[in-house]
Parts: sequence; structure tokens; C-alpha cells
Amino acid sequence: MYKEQTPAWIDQKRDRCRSVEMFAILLALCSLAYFTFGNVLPQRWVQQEPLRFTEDGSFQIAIFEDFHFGESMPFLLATQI
Amino acid sequence: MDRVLDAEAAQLVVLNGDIITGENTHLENSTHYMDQVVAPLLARNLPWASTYGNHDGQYNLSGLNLLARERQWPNARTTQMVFGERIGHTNYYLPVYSSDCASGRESSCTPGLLLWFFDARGGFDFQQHDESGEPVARPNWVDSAVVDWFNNTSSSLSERHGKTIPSLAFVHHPTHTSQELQAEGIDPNKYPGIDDDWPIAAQADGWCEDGSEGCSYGGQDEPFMSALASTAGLLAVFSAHDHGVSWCTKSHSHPEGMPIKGNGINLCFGQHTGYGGYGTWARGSRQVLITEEMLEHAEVDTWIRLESGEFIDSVSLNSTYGEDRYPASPNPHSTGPDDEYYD
Repeated sequence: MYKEQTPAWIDQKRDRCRSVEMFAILLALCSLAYFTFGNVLPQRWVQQEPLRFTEDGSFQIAIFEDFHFGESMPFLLATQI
Repeated sequence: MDRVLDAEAAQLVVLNGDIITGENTHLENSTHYMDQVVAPLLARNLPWASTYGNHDGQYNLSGLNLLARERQWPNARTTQMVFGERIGHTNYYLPVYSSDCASGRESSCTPGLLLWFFDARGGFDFQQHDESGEPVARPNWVDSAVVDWFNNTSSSLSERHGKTIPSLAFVHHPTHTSQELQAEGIDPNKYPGIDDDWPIAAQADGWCEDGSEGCSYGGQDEPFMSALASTAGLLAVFSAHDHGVSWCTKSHSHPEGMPIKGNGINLCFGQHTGYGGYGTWARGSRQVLITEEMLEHAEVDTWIRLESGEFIDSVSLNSTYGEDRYPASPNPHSTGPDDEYYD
């Protein structure tokens, strides 16, 4: 008695179906991740609008500098408070 | 910052260095101050682009980590285009397109303006000690690899588009050219602005020619100065670092002793913005207005908007800048409990 073997073409079809199924699951997970965590993904994932002149042909830049955030008071001044 | 942004109508904000005083921060959260800095920009949906200064690179504050913190927001245009050990991070350019360049078709448009950003470093290496246990000082000039990239990229862009594209440059540390021009004298009616930091601190100050520390000036910014002077279409360079200087001057001649000949490029400082940092000069922001029409004449308008709302030191960086006469800067000072603090 012998065990009837599954035709090879059926195995190949099953493999393709599994591949498509796994790809669809992966795509769904990626989409879920993007829409859930899009704001913390590396910025290369986010489409940035290039800088443009306005419709009247102008472009204004505001330059801020030397903020020094986090600067602490010197010990002498701190002890006088 | 809020008051300035409300008084003006900027399309881009530039944060020109020393955003954070890294030496006063803790390793665990040193980059988190960026959240506070950009909050007003996020609230207004404004894009921004940064350069890092000497205080932004410190033992507990990494430029790489700071860049990562910035880029969590889509508004941040700060990026890194040049890679190498110890050469800094904020070396990049941003194109500005005409409004009639179709969205998504920018690759087929010629930018109307290029904005160049450079990292002159300074400060100290992140989490590094030398043999004696001291923090390792970083060079305070634009690295030669970055200069090469600038020259090559600028040429490539001109070749690709078949024309010279007007440009502006931003770098925290001024070059030695600005120091030499200051030494020649800044006429307050031709180049209005604060001129209280004398002499200004510039790139390569404190370094020797052989790369060791302890000399007055090592000359390592000469390649960068040469690159700036030889870049066609570069209209102005904006620097910071020296809180007590806010003038724009024009490199129209060969400064005495300088190996690099000026080419008419405008060299500008801005207005100290922060409540931190030395000095009591009124806080504010330099505004730069570019129009497509003005660019045809290589002109740019600029002024200072103070935190108080005052509009001062307005000039036109045009062909006659340096000959035109303006009112001298009123040079107001601010008041407040921290205003006499020196870092």
C-alpha cells in the first residue's frame, strides 16, 4: 500500500497563496504602524513639502540664535536667591 | 519668539546655533530642550532649519542626538548631507522653489534660491575624555571635507540647471573675514547694528596652525572663506555666536592681512534671541526678505525685529550697500532678572 502523494502543482499553489497571505499581513502591519506611530518614525518616512516662494514671489526668513536653553545660573547668583 | 513670529510673516525659521547650553545639561535629557524651542513653530506650522553652535556639541549633548530629536517633527528641515568623523552634522542645503513649480515636480524645476547651512562645530566631543581626563575640544571651524562638498555641490547644481542660482548661507561661527572687517571699522551709518563685542570671536580662534590649542588664530577657516568668496550668486552669510554684534557689512575690498579677497558678499550677524547667554542686548531676530524680482538684481532686504516689537536696523543689501546711509542702531538693552548673567 502506498500513500498517494500530493501533486507538485498543488503544493506550489499552496506556497504562492501562503506568500500572498503573508505579504498582505505584512502590508497591513506596516500601514498600522505608520498611522499609529508615524510621528516617531524616522523622518525619511514622512513626505516633506519643499520650500517655496509665496504666490507674490516673496520668501521671508526669521533667524533666531543663541537661545542658550538649559543654561543654569552660576553658583554665586543661585545662592543669593 | 512668539512676539517676533506674530509681528512677522516668515516662510522659514532658521535656528542659527547655540540653541542649547549643552554644558549645563544632563546626559539623559539634554536634547529635550529642543521641544521647548520649537513649540512656537509647531503651533504656527512653520518649517525650520538649524545650524549647531559650540554650545550644542558638549560632553553631555550630542549633535547627532539633537538632530534626531529635531527630525521627529515633519517641520524640521535640518538634515545632514556630509558624513565623517568629527566633521559636524548640520551641513546641508535647502532649495526654495518658485510658487509655479508644480507640487511633486520639483525635480524638473530650477530652484529660485539655495540656502546653505554649515556646522562650524566647537565645544567638546560627546562623552569623550583625553588622557588627562579632560573633555576633548572640537575644532571650531567648518571642516575641509564640508568645504569640498560645498564646492562640488555648488558647481554641480549650477551645471545641472545651466545657471547660477542665488544663495544665502548660515553658519554659527563667523569667519575671520568678519573680524578683520570689524578691525577696519564698522561705520554705524553705513552698516547699522550693535558693535559691542570687540573683537568678535571667529572660527579658528584659540587654535594653532598645527591643529593644537592655545594660539590666537590658526587660519583653518581659510578654505571655507575662500569657498564663500568664490561661490557665484552667494549674496550673504549669516552668523551668530557674538551676542554683542548685529551688523551686516560688505566684503568689498581686500581686508588688510587677509589672504582671501572679498567679492562683495554681505557678512551679517543677527540679534541675540535667548534669555540665556551673556549680555543685556535686547532680544530679537533678524528678518531676511527675498523676492524673486529682487534676486534678479542680487538684492536682499533685512531688518531686526525685537522682542518688544520694535523694528530697527532695516537695510537693503544691494549694490550700493556700504555707500548708502542709514540711521545708526538704537542698540536697546533688555531688562530682567537674568540679564546680567554671564555664562
